[in-house]
Amino acid sequence: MRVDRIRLAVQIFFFGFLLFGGWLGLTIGNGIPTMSCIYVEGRSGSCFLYPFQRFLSMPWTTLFSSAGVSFLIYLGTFFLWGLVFGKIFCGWICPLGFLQDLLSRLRQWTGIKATRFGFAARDRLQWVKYALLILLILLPMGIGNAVAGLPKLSSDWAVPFCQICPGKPILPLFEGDVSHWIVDFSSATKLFFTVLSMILAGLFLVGGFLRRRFLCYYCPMAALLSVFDRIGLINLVKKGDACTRCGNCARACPMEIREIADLRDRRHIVTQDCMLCLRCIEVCPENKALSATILGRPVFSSSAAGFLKRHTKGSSHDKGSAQEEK
Amino acid sequence: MEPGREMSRMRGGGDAQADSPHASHTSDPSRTRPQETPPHGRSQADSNANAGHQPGNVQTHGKGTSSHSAEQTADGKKPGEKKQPRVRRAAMSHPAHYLLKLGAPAARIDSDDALLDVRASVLTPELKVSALSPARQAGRGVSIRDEALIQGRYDFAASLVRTEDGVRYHLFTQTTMRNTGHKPKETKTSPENARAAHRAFFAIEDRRPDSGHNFARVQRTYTGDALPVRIWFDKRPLPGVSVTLETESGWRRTIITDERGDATLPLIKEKFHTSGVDKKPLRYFIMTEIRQPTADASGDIREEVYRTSLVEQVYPSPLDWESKSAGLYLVSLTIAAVGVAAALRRRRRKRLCA
Repeated sequence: MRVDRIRLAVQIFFFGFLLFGGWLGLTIGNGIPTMSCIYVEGRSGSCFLYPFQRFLSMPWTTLFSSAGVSFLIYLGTFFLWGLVFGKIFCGWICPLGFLQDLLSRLRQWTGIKATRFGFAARDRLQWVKYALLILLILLPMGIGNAVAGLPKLSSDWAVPFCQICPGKPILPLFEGDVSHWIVDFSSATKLFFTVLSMILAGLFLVGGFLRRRFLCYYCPMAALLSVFDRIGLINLVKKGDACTRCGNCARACPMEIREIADLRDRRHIVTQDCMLCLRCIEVCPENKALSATILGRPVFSSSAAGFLKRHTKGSSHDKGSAQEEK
Repeated sequence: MEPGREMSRMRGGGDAQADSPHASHTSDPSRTRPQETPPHGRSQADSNANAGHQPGNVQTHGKGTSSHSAEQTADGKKPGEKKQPRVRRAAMSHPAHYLLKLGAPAARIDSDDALLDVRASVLTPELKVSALSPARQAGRGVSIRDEALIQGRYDFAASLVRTEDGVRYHLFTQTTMRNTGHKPKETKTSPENARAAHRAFFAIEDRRPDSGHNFARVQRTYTGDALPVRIWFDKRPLPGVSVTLETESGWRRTIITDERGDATLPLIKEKFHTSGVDKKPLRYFIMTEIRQPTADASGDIREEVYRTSLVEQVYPSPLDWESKSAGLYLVSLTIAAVGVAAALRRRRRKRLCA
């Protein structure tokens, strides 16, 4: 069984579970971060970022007193989640990631080649998510508190990231809800956020079609999860001696991470954009050059035999990927 | 249900039009409903906890409250009284708090004290009926309150009987709320039967479809919606009775119920956002009345008036300030612009390569 097919099955399961689980009574509740969009009616939990921003928008006197324990519990559960799953969320669970993978498959099916960023552009863009993460923290803080002596922001600034996240208009669509495809003229702030939201939704659709995992470069959730790159229980390790720098891994990587091919002296190679899709291991022809580990124990390693087996079997997806890799 | 908000009120008797401009509120999920005199299922224990409570005292599912007395200390505790254990509330749930307001002149409910005689009850999500005690709120009038700790639908009802000038007024009001909270225990009784049993003697039933089991979701009624109602009198639908909808500005519409006792009321647009967008909700009043000559042997009472009302909190339609077409145009333009730009870039690259 190929990893990308297993991943697709897992993605389909989590997409259904996170978006429609609530309709079937499958709910994890709102107390733990389940990465399920808050704007979807039948969701089975709530995305971490929504309550996170809500907590931050509380006055500090509340946040550090009556709400302090709840906030710490919330952060603690996210820390545990990040520690156990880490970037697995991005590659295997995230509903928006799954939709981008579907758009990529649609593009491959139509025979249109993928667009790639230049190395310099990609290196610059990968810092956008950290800038967004900082804004995501600072803007809500300005609602309940006068940060640096500035006047408090109006409640229209609440949950700024969720207001512009493409998930807000796109994910409820799967339940027939088009109420978030709007431009709100009630205030300048609302107008700004809704216009930006519509532009980003359009960019998500066209960008996800033209380029693999287009949105993931700008996602603050990826920035948050990258904290666990080094300490996560699930890891990706490289045996530099076995690597021949053929470059297969970098070409196959949906996030176009070239460091995975370039670096031979680093054992842990989960970089800030890596989503642990394990595609690099699949296409690596060298024995144990790349391995996915859980608690340090390898669970899936590259091998020449496996590479040949997968390569000779082939599939339309392989052809599409091969086209992109060229 | 938002704590501290005026949720509903007892609609006093008399000319409803006269008191409508400063009438009470209902919050988003609320629907006011009337209740029979005396409320069904009112237990003896519940009845013990009645009028004369300290503002803010809470009747929690008929378990009784501490009553107001001169012996109370500054923090509202009697000397030697044990501190009540803190109630554990589920996330996002709120207590129910309904403000009872004065009625219109015809029933002469001319002081808050009269409202302390209101008989109120609640049907909890576990389908238990508990009496609620009206209590005075400092500077705000008289209110009824329930802790509402269980997740589900709460049906509140209140009633009052007043006699004046040979006319006996039977005044009813009723409301519902949805709340998150602790999981309710399973009961064998069907909710429909329990609600029918709890329904007021003269009631306006809100017939909008049930909003499902997502109790955390904010339910709102918007201008432009229609409100289907059914009028019940003595447990039977009442055909041919006139139901009046009245807005805060005084616009009125009267509709006669059909043979099933049903009427559909249009919640017309009331706000036009002349100076900026105003998203605050408005109160719409639905009321109906029956007058019957009485066969009172003593001759003191010559007429019985049954009056029931529903207060609906209606939000201005978001379509007043939102545009779906603008959103779709924007998305389409973005897709077209980026798509064309990508195609042109590829073409230029191909030319350069060639």
